[in-house]
Amino acid sequence: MGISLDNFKKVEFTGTARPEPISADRTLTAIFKVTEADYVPPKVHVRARIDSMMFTGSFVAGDLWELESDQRVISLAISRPLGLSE
Amino acid sequence: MKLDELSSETLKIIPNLDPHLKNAVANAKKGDKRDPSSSTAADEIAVIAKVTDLDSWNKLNRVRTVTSIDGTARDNTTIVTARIPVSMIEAIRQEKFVVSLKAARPVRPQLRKTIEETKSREDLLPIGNHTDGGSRAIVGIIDFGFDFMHKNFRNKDGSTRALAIWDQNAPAGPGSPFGLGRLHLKEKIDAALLKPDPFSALGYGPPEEMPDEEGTHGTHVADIAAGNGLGSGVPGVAPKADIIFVEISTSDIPANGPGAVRSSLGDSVQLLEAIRFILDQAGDRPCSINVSLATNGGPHDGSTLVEQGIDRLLTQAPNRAVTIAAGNTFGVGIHAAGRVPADGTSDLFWSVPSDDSTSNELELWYRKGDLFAVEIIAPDGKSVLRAEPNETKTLQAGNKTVMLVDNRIGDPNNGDNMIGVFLRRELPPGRWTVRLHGVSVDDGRFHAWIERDDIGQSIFDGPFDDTHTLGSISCGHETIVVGSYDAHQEGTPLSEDSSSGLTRDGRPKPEVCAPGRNVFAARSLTRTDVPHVGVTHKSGTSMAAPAVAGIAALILSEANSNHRSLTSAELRKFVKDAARRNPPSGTNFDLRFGKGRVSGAASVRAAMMP
Repeated sequence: MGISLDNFKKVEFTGTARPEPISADRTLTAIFKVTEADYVPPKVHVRARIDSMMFTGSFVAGDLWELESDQRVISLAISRPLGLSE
Repeated sequence: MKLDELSSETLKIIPNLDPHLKNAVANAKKGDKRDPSSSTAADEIAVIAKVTDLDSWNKLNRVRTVTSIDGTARDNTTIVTARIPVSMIEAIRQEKFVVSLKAARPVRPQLRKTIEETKSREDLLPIGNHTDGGSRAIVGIIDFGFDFMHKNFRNKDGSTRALAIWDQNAPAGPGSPFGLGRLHLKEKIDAALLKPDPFSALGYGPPEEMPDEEGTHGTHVADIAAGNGLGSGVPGVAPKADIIFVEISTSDIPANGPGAVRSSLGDSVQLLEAIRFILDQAGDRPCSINVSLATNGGPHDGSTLVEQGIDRLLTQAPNRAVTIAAGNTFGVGIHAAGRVPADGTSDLFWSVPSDDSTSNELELWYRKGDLFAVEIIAPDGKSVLRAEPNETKTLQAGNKTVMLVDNRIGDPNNGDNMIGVFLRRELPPGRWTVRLHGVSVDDGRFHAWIERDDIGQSIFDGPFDDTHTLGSISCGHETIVVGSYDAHQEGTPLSEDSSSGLTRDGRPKPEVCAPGRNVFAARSLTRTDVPHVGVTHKSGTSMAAPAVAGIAALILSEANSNHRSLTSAELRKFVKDAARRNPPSGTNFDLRFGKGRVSGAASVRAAMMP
């Protein structure tokens, strides 16, 4: 079953209000902001630490419901495309 | 001379000729004689040619070849500089082995404009300064296409000035930062530079030029901030700084949807990781990082996690700076603002051009105390969709979603409300109406941005305003955001498309402006020390931001020499307080100039104070 990102209130609007659901097994990367120092939600793989309450990480889209209900997750921002300022 | 006394005349000149050469041919055909110069005889002209057969070139009569650089480009052509008779220009251009023939242009004065106008050239800095070309600092560049072979990024002994290149595009392997891409450290880059084909040896290099582009963006940007001029003849702002370059890539762009409709080179997650990486590499050394990337959408209040992340990295330790290009969307029609009356409506008109082959996306933000419903009206006047607060609605064509409207309440980062509208390319072009209905209105103000689309940009067809057009990552609290002006024109006017503040939450940004119009700097794939060959010109706030990144490196280097640490807030204050006026007129914050035109000399002077 596909996942629609617009169902998740903790997901920062990415500018990619994907009209089609994405596959549940698709790996996504995001910036995470959490309430508790060094907390990492289950099934999230940390890539880079920004500080004790913020990090980048990867996870599969099917785990978004779990992240949405995780009280220690404040928000997450799925990667947003950037272009050159030329 | 009176205009009505002039007459037009058609000259027969071969069509595919460089305009400067064409002008020389035209003058010669009219009988005008060229005066000799220090390097050319009478009726001779200096040219740069790209040839496929050097022997044939050398056999041309009356051609004086000055320099030739074999294999300058990856296509194994040779670039030559030469002096040729004006009378032979057309004949030489038509030789099959001549791929390109251009007149030498007096680029040196133009190259100097950035460092001269910003008062950051060595001789313009305050007497007694210890900036030493930024030698105590690291300049980090997050961009696309770094030509590490260009002499502007090498020491006199030929070794690289780059401490590291992180290529996020490469397959991951052992030692990849954060499990992503490939890391090339100085030793490896130096070893590659000794090989016949350093790009292949390293497994990294700038791509071949696209037909409409002269050189890569990243090489140009890096040169403005930190080139040493050994190749092109004129240095950048911090010519002795060490360099770290991150080739940014994007990890997660959907095959369909808005992410697929605009050209993108990087993304917000990997940008934040790039900044983390550079700061980790820098350790305790002062570090100034440039980001010449942007997109249009977003809350424009500094609350996105990527902006929060950059702010956090900047405040974690002293002696760090991140400069970001303001964007180039002034006068384009991508922003609208207005007020929805209680129990009333407000219309936005969204124009999709008839030849637009891409999908389109709009993002509208308003305050948390208000609630709007949104109605979409097609170009034929038919209302096709309405979404109440907290609703997501779609229009389907069979199994395909052709329109999506997301009316979100309570953004997780700032608590405000947001409406996103996506129109798939299959929908008809024309003037769409986005009608906002006041459901519960306390304030009623809103801002809307149409997302960037380099292939087919849709725009607001009134009412729109050009304020609040900063890029989506250009609204942070700790970053230095830079607009662009034209240093070549008298009066140093703003670049016409340099984006405007304020931020949506009312903060004054951009901080300052720098030269960004027709900036001459290093051109990738021109590994030469011939000044007229190794550069190209580009325009945009992309070219302004690295000038300020270089100045930040000078400031940090000066402070470091005095054993002084600077917070990012102190450094920003130095840069802002030192900015020059006239233009902009008056003393107040200017929506596009910010505090004014950046001054390297005055900023460094501030850092020299105890």
